[in-house]
Amino acid sequence: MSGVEWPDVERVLAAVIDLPENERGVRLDELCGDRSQLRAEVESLLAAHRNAGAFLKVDTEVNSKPYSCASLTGRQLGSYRLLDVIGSGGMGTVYRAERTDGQFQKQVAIKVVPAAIHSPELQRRFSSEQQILASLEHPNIARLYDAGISAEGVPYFVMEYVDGVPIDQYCDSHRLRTKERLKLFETVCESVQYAHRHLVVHRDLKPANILVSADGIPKLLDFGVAKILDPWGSGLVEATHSLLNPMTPGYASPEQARGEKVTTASDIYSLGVVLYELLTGLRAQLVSGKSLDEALRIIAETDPPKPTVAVRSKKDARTSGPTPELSNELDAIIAKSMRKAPQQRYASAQEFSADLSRYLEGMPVLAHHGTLRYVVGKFAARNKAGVLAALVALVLGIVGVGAVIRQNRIAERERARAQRRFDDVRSLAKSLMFEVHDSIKDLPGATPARKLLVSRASEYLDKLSREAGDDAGLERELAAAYERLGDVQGNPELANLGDPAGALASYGKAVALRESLLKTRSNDSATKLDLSGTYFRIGTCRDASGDLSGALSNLQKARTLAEESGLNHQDPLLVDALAAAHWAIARVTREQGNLTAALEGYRTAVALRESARVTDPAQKADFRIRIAGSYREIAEVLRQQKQHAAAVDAARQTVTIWESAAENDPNNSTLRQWVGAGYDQLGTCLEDSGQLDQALDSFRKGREIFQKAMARDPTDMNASRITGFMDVEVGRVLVKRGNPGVALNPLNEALQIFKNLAKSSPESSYLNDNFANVYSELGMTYAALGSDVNVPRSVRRQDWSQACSSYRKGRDVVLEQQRQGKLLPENSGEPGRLLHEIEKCTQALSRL
Amino acid sequence: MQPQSLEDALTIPVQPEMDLVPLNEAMDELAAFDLRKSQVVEMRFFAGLAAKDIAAVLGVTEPTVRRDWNIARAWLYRRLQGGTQP
Repeated sequence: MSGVEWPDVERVLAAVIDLPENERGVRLDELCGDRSQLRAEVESLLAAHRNAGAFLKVDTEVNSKPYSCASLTGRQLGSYRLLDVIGSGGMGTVYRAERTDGQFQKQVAIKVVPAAIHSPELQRRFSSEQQILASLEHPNIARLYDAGISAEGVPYFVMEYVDGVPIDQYCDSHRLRTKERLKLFETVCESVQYAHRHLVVHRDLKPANILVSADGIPKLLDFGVAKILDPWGSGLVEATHSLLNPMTPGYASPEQARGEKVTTASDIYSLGVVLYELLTGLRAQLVSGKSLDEALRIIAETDPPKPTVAVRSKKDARTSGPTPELSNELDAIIAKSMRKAPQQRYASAQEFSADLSRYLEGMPVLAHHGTLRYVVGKFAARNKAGVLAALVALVLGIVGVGAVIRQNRIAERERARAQRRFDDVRSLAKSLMFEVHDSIKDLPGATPARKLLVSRASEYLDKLSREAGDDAGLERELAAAYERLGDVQGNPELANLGDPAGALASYGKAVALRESLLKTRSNDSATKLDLSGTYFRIGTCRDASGDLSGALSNLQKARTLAEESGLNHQDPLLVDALAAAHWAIARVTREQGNLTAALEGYRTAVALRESARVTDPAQKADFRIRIAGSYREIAEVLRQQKQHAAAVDAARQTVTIWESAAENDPNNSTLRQWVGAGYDQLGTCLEDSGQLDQALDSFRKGREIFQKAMARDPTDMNASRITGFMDVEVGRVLVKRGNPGVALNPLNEALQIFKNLAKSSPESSYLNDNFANVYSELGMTYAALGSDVNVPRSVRRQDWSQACSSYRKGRDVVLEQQRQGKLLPENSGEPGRLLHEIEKCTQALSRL
Repeated sequence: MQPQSLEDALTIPVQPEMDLVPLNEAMDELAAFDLRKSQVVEMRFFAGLAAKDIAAVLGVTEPTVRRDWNIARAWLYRRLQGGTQP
């Protein structure tokens, strides 16, 4: 940039680019002074701005100076003179015009289209399509006389001039009754049917394109025009275009919005929307003015309210028309025409019209009431990754997705050059996994989108693996991608999708790829560390699902590989891998009952991380967070060893470090949940040391964090489970403080949360601990209530029998855990203790 | 206000079919020194988002998006004119 700094150029440009040409000079003098290079650079870019014309423009919306249409009145275009504007819409402006070469006296309508992307392709399509369109001769279809591109490069269409008003206005101003509206609409259907038989699809049916003359004859405008103007065939631009076009957002079919092939079924859908509007006076799909995610949700999955319902709930009934006479049959007919799946709609406009005739004649209609709910996942599963990326973009409106689409669009172009196909698929899979997922992983509410990404990404990766051959770079990428996939599916350390089996399968694929890489490069420290990381993930995943020996063997492999990597012992890369392995091994040994070894392992992990030479601030923060994680475990072991004061100190360390980290990273929901978990532990330690009030306060702080996380993303299983868990903690302390009546609320809430979770993931044996816990606490609470001698005997009897049955349920759960070998060592006394409690209940009952 | 000539009002430069590969490279260059402007182009041209939505996503105002768009477009146009024509 010849010695000129971009920020300076940018600042000056921003100040002058919106000014009128003749004011720019003075301002430039002020801003640039004698910096002639700066001025030259700015002037050069201003000139480019002037000359850029329609370069990159999708439409004129983003430009601060909207395209002016009125100025064409009175101008000559070909052999026509433009008389006045009779309409304007998303695709252009329509003029009334007359022929000036004396060949015809006729008035015509000319649609002038400020085409965004003009190309030889457009020209070619003009000549081929216009012949087909000109052959459409039907009394209810406006004739297309001519279409072309003017000398200036402006596409235009010369059409029959129709003196009429849009069909919705016509119906309202003539106060047509429902029956009359249906009759008029049948005529529209017939003309659409005619065009369909000639293989012409309208693609943009809406009231503004259906004019009705004063004598009540409907005429359809613009047949086939949309197809000629679609610059990309049926590409992504069309998808976003029709979705976001401010003029006709509500009439596009779901497949149009997704950029799929547009067929006659799309016109059927749009006809359904028009009929809906004619009968109810309401738009079926309220998309305009909505945010992107709402617009997507509406088009993709929301069925509009049934016309009968919509009319009933309309607040102020229209004064201009009679009350619509609607019925369930009409509801069903409209619903059938607007089905999300094209093949479920009426097969033709004729069939649609015939069903309306049957209705008018009082005969049973064909439309069925059965609805097929279309969730986003269903349609996305059948679609291209590009559409999926667009979908995610629309759902979440995130930065970075533009980049993915850009890559995808380029990839499409490249694919035409067949030899690049493989690389494309690879970059697509990569961008889907790494860019999109990373952008959304910490956002609350993103779980469904993440599940979609996971299933698509998994298919891509498997396909790539089969074709990978001996490409080491690709194998490494694939292994990393499988690892990420596994993390999303079920890494117990992250907010995951609750699918540990899927996670282990993905990790297994990563191990296979990395073991084969290591065979050819046995001294490569990076490969060893990578493989160590994969074994580490398998170990923690097995640990979380209760397979302790499997966990230990994998984690020991992870530790050995890290130790043998040959890196310096203060190298953060090595420290990270080694400390993590020590930490996880300590956890397993603790679960196996060896507290002393566990404590040593955790302290080793802290020492390793504190001695590491870390320079990167992000990594520094990460290490702090992990040191806090080790303190958390240390507190836990100390608590088990009954060193209560030391345990409280360690737990406080954890909360303090995590809380300050969460403050620095407020959008990180995982970290926020960790703070909640920290409060839970601190509460427990305080409770053990007898500080009940402080404990209750700490538990409530923790519960609030998880409850908020659950509210933000109801499908986050971890957040729900822990909210329930915290409820149990709160309940238990309340009982200890002598408030058993108050404790019932949180405990019952917890039970309900666990039951809901068990319904959605029946294989998750991890819930058993929670069930045992809540039943036992409920038993204790009811026992406390039953011991209150101030309440009537009958009430106490009920309390004790509730206590008895709660303890029984709890005992059943732990006995089942024992049978499966999944009862934690510290809970080995539970079956006996619960039996003893049950006996106490029985005795109490017999005394009452 | 001066009446526009027909040519001014309707001039649409006839571009050869847009070749996305050089554009992609130019965008990478742009991103290297002004990431936000390349993001605006990505979201506008490739993803078809409206200025309002781009503004929301980037956390800036709509006028800023429009200015970014105009500047980025001018820069890319000049880059491609200079880089692709003999």
